[in-house]
Amino acid sequence: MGRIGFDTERKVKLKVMNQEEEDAIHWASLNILSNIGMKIYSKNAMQTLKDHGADVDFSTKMAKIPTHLVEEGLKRAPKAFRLCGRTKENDVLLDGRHVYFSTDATGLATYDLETGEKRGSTKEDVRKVAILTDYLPGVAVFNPSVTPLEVPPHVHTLHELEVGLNYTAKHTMVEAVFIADEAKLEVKMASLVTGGEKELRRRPIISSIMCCIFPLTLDGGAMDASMEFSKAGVPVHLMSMPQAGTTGPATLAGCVAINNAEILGANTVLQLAYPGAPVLYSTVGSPMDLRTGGYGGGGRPETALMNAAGVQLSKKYGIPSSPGSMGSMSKMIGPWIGHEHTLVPLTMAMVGGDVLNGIGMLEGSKVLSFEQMMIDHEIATAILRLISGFSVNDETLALSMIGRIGPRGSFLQEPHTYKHMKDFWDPTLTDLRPYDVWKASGAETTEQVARRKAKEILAKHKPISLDPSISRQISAMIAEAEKKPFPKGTSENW
Amino acid sequence: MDGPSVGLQLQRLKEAVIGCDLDNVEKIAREALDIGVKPVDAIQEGLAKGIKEVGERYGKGEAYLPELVMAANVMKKAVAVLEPHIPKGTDLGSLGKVVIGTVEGDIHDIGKSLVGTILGTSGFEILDLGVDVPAEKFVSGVAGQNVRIVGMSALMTTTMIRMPEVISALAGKGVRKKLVVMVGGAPTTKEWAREIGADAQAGDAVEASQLALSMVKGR
Repeated sequence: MGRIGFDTERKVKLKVMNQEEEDAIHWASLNILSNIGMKIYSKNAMQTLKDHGADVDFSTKMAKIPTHLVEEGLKRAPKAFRLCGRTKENDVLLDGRHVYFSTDATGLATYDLETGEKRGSTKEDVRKVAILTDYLPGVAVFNPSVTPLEVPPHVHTLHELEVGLNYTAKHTMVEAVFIADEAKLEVKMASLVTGGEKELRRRPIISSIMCCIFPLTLDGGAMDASMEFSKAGVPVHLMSMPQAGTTGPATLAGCVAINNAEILGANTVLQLAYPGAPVLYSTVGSPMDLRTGGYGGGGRPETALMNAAGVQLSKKYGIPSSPGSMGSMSKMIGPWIGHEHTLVPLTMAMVGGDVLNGIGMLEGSKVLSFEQMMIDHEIATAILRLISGFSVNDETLALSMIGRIGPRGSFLQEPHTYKHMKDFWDPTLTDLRPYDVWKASGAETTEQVARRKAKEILAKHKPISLDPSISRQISAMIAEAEKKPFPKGTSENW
Repeated sequence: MDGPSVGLQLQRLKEAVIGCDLDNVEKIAREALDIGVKPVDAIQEGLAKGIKEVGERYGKGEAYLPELVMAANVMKKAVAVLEPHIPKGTDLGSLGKVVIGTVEGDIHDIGKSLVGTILGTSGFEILDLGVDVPAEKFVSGVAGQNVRIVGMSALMTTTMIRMPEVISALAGKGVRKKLVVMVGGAPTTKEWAREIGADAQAGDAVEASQLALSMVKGR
């Protein structure tokens, strides 16, 4: 057995569609792309499609993408690649066999670790997420989790990336970028760390999220930014967030078909423009709350089914996936979020999602809780242990020892037990002590233990630091970018 | 006698225990004797320091139980090599003897044996009476020299009720007062211990060891 966060091979497996259903959805998506088409607000993307013979209309921004181009796109998408860390031991190998967890989202508020109060999120919060991520073995990929509200909005992702590059040696997944120039700057920042753009292409230490607009729409700025990332060899998470009942049909099959069409459409553009561009298939769906029209949250059974279907399709195509995994509308730490943060990621892990996100967030990924982050890490490591299953061979059957010990004996003192004692899931918050012992030692709640441990880690852990001169250059680049005026969106103005 | 090499050999003994080196510890113990390490030093300054460290790590939740048990077995193996060379009447610095057993009608002894192992690593000598132990057997067990503690375990409410019988039997022989009586096992509680006139109850082996040390020192 290897390290729990990086070396978990999936042995426990699940499918949510049979072969016929899978094919039917695939064909429905091809049908949608070639006959209904997508609205694409990026001139570059539209031109790329036109150059390859797609039926595009620049005035309506509609593109119908023929099946052979979609298939060409799938052929060109790399089947296995790495989300690299700043150090090699933090590399995340995406090969369809391993499962990892990441932090997630662009929240706007944080439960303060000292005061317990909910307040607007800050860059310091992002730094804490980075340090905890760097420390926690079960989290392999860093995502900023919250947006620093004290910095100008048009450079917030730059500040988040700065934190990632400085405070964790793990891979940084940058939040969605909607401006091509911002993407270019991020590539430059990461290149400073890797020692050049060529090195960044070889070892992409960052990846970016591209959020599609459901249904069947690609934002111009986001698409342009993604093309910049693909050009630089930076992996892009093609993320689609269907809301069954409003932005998608109320029936899951239709929702999944549109979701698949969007991801395939975006992939086709990137692969035609930059063959071999690394992409991840990222379904983050959920049902709308059709009683009220509110966001349905990410922890419902239908969330699991939709996102699992997405992962299953990604497996059919051989594209690595980063499905929506932990999500909940819960307003506080407690039993509700506990079951939701288990139900969906466990399903994703069993279907074979590669990078499972969502650690540490409450209220539909809007609010960060460091205590929840610790609890989610506990859940994540349990899931990773579960899906790695167990092996059956002479060593693990241990028949000769069983014969030697016999009835009424104990295996506790055996060297075999000693040898395998660390094969078990090793909890860090779960309290297995008897009531009296727990009571006598202060009767801490899980939340209190989580808070204490988070504080301990933050006080002690020192991530491998970045060369100070590179740090300074990155800060200077951000300061320069801040001076530029807030750019206009590119979506509608060409 | 060469000082540094003696120090080195004591360190090797300590490390053999910490590293649970069941295969090599006897050889290391014999080598210690060969180079002139005193067997009492080999135990107290080598092996015991190792087991103390593992025990402390176990108490903090860092070391694993099979590790502690293995370390104890490694120590036992080495002690068996060293013991015949110790002059009779040497003070080995024992904290005294602990008599433990699972009460009559009960055969669940994993916890009880564990308590024995942990107390053994804390410096007590252990006399384990085994399982299904009737009151009279506890009484004859404590008749030996230097017995400080009697520990009883039961896993079931139906056998837990045997515990007061043991305490009365000890009182009947007039030995109750010179002993610390400890109880343990899933159904037992601190209230139960008070109710039956025991001195302490422990929820797990680490607590048992802490209680045993503090109660023996308190007397």
